[in-house]
Amino acid sequence: MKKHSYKFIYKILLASALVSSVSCKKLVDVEPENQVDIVNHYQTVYDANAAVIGIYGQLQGIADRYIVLNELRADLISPTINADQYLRQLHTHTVTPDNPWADPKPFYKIIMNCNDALKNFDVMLAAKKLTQADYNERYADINAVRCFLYLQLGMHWGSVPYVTDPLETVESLKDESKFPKLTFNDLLDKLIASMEPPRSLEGYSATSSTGSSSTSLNTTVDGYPTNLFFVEKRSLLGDLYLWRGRYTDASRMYRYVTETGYRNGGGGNDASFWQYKPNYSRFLVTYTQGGNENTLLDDNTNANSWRSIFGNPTQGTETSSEWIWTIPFDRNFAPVNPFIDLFSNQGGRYLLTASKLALNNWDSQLQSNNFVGDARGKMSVRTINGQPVIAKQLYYYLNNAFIPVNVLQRQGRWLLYRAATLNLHFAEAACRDNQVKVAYALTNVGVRETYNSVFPGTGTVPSDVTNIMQTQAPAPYDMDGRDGAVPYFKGPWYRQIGSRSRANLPRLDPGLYQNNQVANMEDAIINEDAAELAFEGQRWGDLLRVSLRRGSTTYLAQKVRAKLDLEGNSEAANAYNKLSTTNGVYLPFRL
Amino acid sequence: MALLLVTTVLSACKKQWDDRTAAVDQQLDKTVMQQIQENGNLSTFSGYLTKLGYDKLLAGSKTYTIFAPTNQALQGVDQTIVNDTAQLKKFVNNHIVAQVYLTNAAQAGLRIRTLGGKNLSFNTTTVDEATITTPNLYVKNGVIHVIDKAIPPKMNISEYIRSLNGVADMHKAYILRQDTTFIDTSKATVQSYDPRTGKPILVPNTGVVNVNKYFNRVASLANEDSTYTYFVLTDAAYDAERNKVSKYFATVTNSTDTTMNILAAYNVLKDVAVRGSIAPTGFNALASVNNVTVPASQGAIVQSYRASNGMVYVVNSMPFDIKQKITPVIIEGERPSFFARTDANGSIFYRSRRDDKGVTLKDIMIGTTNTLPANFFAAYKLTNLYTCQYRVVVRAVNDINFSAPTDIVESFNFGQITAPVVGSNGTIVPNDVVKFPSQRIGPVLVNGSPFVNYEELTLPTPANRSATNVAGSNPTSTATAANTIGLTGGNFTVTKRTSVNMYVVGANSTTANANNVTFDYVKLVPIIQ
Repeated sequence: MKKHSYKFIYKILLASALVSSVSCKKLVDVEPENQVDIVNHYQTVYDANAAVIGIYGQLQGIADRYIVLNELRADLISPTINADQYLRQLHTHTVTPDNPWADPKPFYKIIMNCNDALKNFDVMLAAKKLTQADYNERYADINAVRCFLYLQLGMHWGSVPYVTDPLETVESLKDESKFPKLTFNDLLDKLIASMEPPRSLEGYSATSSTGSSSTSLNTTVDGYPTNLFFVEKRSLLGDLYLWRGRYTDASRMYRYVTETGYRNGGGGNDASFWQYKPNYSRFLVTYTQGGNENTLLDDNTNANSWRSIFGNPTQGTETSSEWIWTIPFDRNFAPVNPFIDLFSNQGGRYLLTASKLALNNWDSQLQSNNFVGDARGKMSVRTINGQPVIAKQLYYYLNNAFIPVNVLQRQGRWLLYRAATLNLHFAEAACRDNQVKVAYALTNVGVRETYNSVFPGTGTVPSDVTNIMQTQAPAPYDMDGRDGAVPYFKGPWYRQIGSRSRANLPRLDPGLYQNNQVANMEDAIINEDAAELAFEGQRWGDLLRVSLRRGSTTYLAQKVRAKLDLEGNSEAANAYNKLSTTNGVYLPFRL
Repeated sequence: MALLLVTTVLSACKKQWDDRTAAVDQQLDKTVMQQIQENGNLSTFSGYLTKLGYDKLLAGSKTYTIFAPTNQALQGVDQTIVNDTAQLKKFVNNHIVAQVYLTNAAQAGLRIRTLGGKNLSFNTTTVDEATITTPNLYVKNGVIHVIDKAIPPKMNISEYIRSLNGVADMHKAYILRQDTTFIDTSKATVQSYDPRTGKPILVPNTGVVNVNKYFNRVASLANEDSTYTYFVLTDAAYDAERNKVSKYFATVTNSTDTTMNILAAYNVLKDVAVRGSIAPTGFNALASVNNVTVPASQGAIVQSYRASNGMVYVVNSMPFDIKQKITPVIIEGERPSFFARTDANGSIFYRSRRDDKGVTLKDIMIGTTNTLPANFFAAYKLTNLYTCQYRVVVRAVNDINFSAPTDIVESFNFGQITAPVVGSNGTIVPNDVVKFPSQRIGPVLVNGSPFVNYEELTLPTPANRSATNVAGSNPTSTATAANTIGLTGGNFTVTKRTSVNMYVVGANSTTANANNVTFDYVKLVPIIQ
């Protein structure tokens, strides 16, 4: 009986297959009316633009992953009591293969879309559907996004398959014979090669036409200027060089980006200095009444306050001097801001908070006026309802009393790269390129003061600055910070004051550069990274990069152990042992 | 044929089918009540349970742990308890605990709550003072532990103190005086609502909650869930300790009155409670709930009682160290009450600093500008000072880096609180009586360099603490009989318990930096005589 029925069904299927295959032929020829076939998707520049915007939209979808992996695995963020076992595993470096955060697929999914878009840009260019100029901009941009994603993969999984072919699904990657894994360094070489000239390093050109007729991606969408949505390629390429140990190349990139404002302003014109990317005297730790600790300028909108880097509601000349790559989360469009859920204890799940180590780092500082603690700590982490809350990502969501304006309106900003990041990466590259004094100037008080001929003394600086206030080092370290009245000089770097001065911290020991202490200077830069860029997704990269450079991951392992030890976590010793091996720092790669 | 086959199969199955829910362990067919009734040695306890109607409760579906005393153990129970249902219920309730506790779950420190609300200490072989002779008789709705001794409900510490008679009357009377009541509107019955305000009108005498103010402030001795060791002082010990401190609470100058005794009594009794239940062998280095050393000794114990929430010892001596009872008063610089003028905020700075030992301090710095009026002061209201002589100790961090180290010269003055008198120039005129004028607080020169002084200085400041090597001036007083403060042998003296103002005053100058005021704290150290 059963056999009969199977045969019966089989016959029916066979018959219907025959019927349908005959009758399908006509159907296939009919174009669907409400769907675009894949081969017809890329027709005009608008379609190419849609692909670019779509990819950036997907990129926003991994913002939480970016922060969680880069911070929770490092030493500045710890899970709260609300965190689940998977977050705890990242914290203690006991990640099991089923941990959703350790899944590289979300990265590869976007990479596949990048690959597909890039292939189709080629097709469009060949079919003359895209001008060479439009093609150059879009291709370079999506290629850079792909490099950014691969850099993240390399940082967390070590050896990963490097795929540039458009594949239909991520599943196809599982075939290791077709897609062998590259070592991290080989991967970096490939990424650098794909970004270097002749590939364009410029951003999208501005256009005078706006609205629906504009073909440019450099425009305004939903009230947000788009020029900072897109990855800043020179900074990214600089980072790739920095990872690969090509310090001079890295510095060349960083310096170029830092002088953007000077170049755009044609030099000399003081107004254009506002668009500088060096750390200058804006976004400060400052007191409205000097010497009164209660008067710390702690404000979202005042560009003199360090906090307004994270809370300034408008992208203007001031914020554009600090922000380099930033994507807004808005209550009116998807995707939803994931940071509220991760960090906020009001309207969020409050899964992550600052580690004790991070708080201790700030508390152990003394400011220039001897106030206790680095004030950036007070503005990065706030005590709300008795709990320490990471506030950097919440300033758009909370009002001035630190209560949500509206728990259902989760606006925010994903700040991926800013002038402080650039400045400290530049310092790191210079330090390793044996330009310790340049690194010292960038980190501390700026070129103008460090090279003023009396520094570190406090004597009178000569009024003729023709031959001082400049590094007089070989390119790309030949920075000019001259600031003189007679003869008149305003060098491109004259307003730069360094990361620590901006934060009202005293300068580091001048012995660092006087005795050419490269490793100590590097330590100081990484510590400054922790204070300035905490919770912004830089920390794991900073620690791993230095560790790999030093040929031993114990540097990273010690930092993580210190975090766990301070919280009395019994996994501290195990985590240290695991992270001390180069393979131990990477997550299990499972597709 | 087929039908026959089916019926055969069915009938054969029947037995097995009925057994499917049968418990393998016969023990699990019984209820707690049945198990007790079956055991002939528990018949007396069983009789109590039946008398109280608990047989139905214990035959039900809720689970219980029963500590069942044997017939022998219950022989000594007073017949008045057995005959009085209310008392018997209290007695039996203390043997029954909701939920199952097997002895393998027992551990030191585990206290389980009985139906009567008291807690029992449950260990592997004992429960309170009784020994478990037959443990873990488990049945379907609970477990029975047979014990060799009845566990009558104990008094808690509060109940025990109230039951004392003729041994510590003064201590007991103090605690009874602290009993009070308030109306908890959420527990009261609402009679109606006021049509005008919408507020509820309560039925009188409903929602009344009894509290004891002393328990609220010191230790919740009536709470069954927190354990304390409590020392009750005999009248002689109470008198001796109170007399030691009463002179520091003079509310009428040179006299004793009731208020003074009440204040002194609180000062003594705030330190007779210790956390945890401590045996006399553990009487060393005890710290009270307010962190004062409790000088308890085994030899002083007159009687002791194991209460349901800790230990009570009646002691005939408790020689407190008076220095721990009459402690220094610390006035923080960063918490001023008011200033000479209300328009000088631009010259007032609150700072944090790290001292030479790495400890963070917060202080106040007034001045550094040339807009400050002469004799500008910050005032601090001091309440409830002990009546005694004080050494005045100051810690001030003068670390403004002047090109040449400059002394800060400031005065520390004390006066009665009166309505502020505002002078013609808009500056409040301080009503100061006792003055420590022109105190010099460094920085000192060490090998020609300014040296920031983090040490405490006793006023008047010594010469070696100033850049110009000049000592602070000796104190002066204009106190009359009407004042409650004064000067005795160069020490600041409080003669009656009152609140006073302390003024920290800058120099009589308007030159920038010459009239600065700064200090971290002032410490008034009582001189114990």
